[in-house]
Amino acid sequence: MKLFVKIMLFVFVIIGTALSANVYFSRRAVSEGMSGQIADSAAAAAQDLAQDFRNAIASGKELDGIKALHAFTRKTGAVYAGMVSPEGTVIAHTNVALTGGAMRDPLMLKGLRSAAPVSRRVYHNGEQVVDAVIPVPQLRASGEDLLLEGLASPNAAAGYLRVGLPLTSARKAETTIILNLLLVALFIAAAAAALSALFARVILRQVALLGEGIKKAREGDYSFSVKVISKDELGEVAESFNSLSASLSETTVSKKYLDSVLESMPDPLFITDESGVILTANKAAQEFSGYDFQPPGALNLRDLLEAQAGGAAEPFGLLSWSGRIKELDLWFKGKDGRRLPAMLSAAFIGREGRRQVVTVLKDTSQHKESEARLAQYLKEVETVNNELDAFAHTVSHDLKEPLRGIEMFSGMLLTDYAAKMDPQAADYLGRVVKASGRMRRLIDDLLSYARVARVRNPYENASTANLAAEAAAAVSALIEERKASVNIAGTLPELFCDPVKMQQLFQNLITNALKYNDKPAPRVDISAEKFGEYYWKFMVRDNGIGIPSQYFEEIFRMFKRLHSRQEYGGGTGAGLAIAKKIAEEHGGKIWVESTEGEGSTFFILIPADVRKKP
Amino acid sequence: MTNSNEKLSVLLVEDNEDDVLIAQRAFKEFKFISAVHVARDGQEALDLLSASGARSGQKPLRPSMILLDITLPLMDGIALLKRLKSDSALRCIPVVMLTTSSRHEDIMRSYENGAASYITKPASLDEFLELARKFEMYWVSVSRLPL
Repeated sequence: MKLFVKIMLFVFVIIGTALSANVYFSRRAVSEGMSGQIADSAAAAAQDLAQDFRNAIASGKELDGIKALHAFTRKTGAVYAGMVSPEGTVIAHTNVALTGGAMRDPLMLKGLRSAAPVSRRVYHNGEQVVDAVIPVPQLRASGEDLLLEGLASPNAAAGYLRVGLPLTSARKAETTIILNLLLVALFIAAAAAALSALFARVILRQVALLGEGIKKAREGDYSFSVKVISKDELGEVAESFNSLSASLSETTVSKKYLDSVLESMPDPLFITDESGVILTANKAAQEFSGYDFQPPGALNLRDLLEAQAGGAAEPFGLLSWSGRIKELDLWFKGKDGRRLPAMLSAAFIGREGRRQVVTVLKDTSQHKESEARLAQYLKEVETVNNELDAFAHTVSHDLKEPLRGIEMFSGMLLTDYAAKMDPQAADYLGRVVKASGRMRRLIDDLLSYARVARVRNPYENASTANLAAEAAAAVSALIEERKASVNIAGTLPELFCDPVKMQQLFQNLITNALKYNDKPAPRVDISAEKFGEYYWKFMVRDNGIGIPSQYFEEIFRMFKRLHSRQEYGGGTGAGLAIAKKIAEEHGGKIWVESTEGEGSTFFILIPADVRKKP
Repeated sequence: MTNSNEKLSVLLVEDNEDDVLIAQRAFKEFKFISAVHVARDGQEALDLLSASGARSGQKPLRPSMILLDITLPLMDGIALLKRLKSDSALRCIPVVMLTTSSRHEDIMRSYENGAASYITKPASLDEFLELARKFEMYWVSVSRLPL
């Protein structure tokens, strides 16, 4: 309503000024008119006494003048009166001291030049009077004379009266007129003020509506439209505003909309300045942290993040360095002192110099929990596996003891007493010896299978070409017996591995290749090539009997045999299972491709360096 | 070649009765081994060698070599080995470890403490006989013992 006050003040000033001017000028006009009227009526009175005046002027006798003036004052009530010659000399005056003097004041001089009475208002003895100069006309003898006189001196007067006429009678009339004028003026002023107020109200109504609309738009509500109540410029402004907000609501995502998006986000979000002072935080952030973040700027996000372990970069330092952070794992300090695991992403918004930081956290407590649970499970599985390995080792070791006795004594019985035995009994005893021997080999293989996991030799860089050659040397008897050839390619790389086990792996595959071979000249080719960036692929190819494709996976199972115990040297079926375990322990894989009757190729993938896993 | 009069006497330190029988059976085949003495544990072996304890007053045993198992009750094989090698009178008797273990660390511990050889017990009689044959070949024909 300030504008209304201003407008009304302005209106009042104008009306006040106009009224004052009106009253002033009216009053002046009235008083001048009244003065003229008084002077004229005095002049009319003087006209009646004109002859006496003329005579007195003509004679120049003061007494005659006094008499005439006396008659005049009686008639008009003049406060003072004087008779002045056309030259300006005072012939007679009610104030006798002035007689004989010259009158040269401005009104007198003005009167001397005028044919009509002139007057002005003066104060005489503290009373306002009309000070007037009234000409005393010449005697008009005849028309000709008048004409002649007129021609000769049109303004010529016989003399002048200088009189002070009282205002008392005029005063009342004057005041009444002025009062009436003032009343009229006041009425007009009041009407004007009322109209102005009404007008201002009408104009300001539109302004108020516009103001309301702008306020809503500032709050982000662009759907609001201002009511147009006037068809003037303000109405046009209102219409322009409406079309502006309409186009804004179409093209701009309103603040309210954004706010509701931020609030309903399930992930904690903070808007901070570049130093980390939190300006805004959404509801999820409050729920996550326990803080209410009021008033804005009370907290610094940096204080709520736990120092990174191991000298990792501080998030805000990282942000100003790289411009953005994606999924940084860290701990958040909750209000209740709890450590909250979170993944932080952040980016700058806004212009350089006025930049702010948008930070989004991802609550990873559940993730962390399941991670911990997984680690726990893995640990349990490892423990169970270790226990199983230890169990297998102990069991097989303990089983071996009595078995040695069975095998030994049945062997001794057979050696020392076979001759004295029934041939049937000797045959049965021979079977006991064989069966116990076979059981021992099974236990031995079980032991070496368990040993793969149980015994951990230190990893070192080793030439796989050498390891393969050593493996071939270890089975040289078999190679010789089968008249076989084992060819090791020069491409076999150096590998960071457990050399003892790698040699075992090669040995098992070579043995396998030679055992299951019906060719007159068995042949084993060992080669290697790079497989991708991280792996070496070893190939052990033979020209053996091959493997039916349905057994490609089964053959790697412990004690799995595809042939009867009498065929192909009667192995236990542990060699490939051990090979697989060794490959897997090195982070690798093993598989076979084969064509029956032509041969098989075993493929082993081993990381070039297990320390540099992809 | 070795004089046939200089026959070997062996002290077998072994707690397993089966193994004692098997070893005795295996060494019976060979004419150069005259006697196989048996001790069931480390302390008994020490008593035999130094004529102490239950064997006090008797002549201390001086075998040509000692066959020693590792897993023994009371004083185990390695502890006995240490005692033997710290005794100036017994230090010169070669000790051959004869055990079921093929563990690397057992082998290392044995040699570190002065074992002359390390043999893993064969599993079958045939293998044991083969071993005994090779054993005699080495210790009687190739190596010289402090007789």
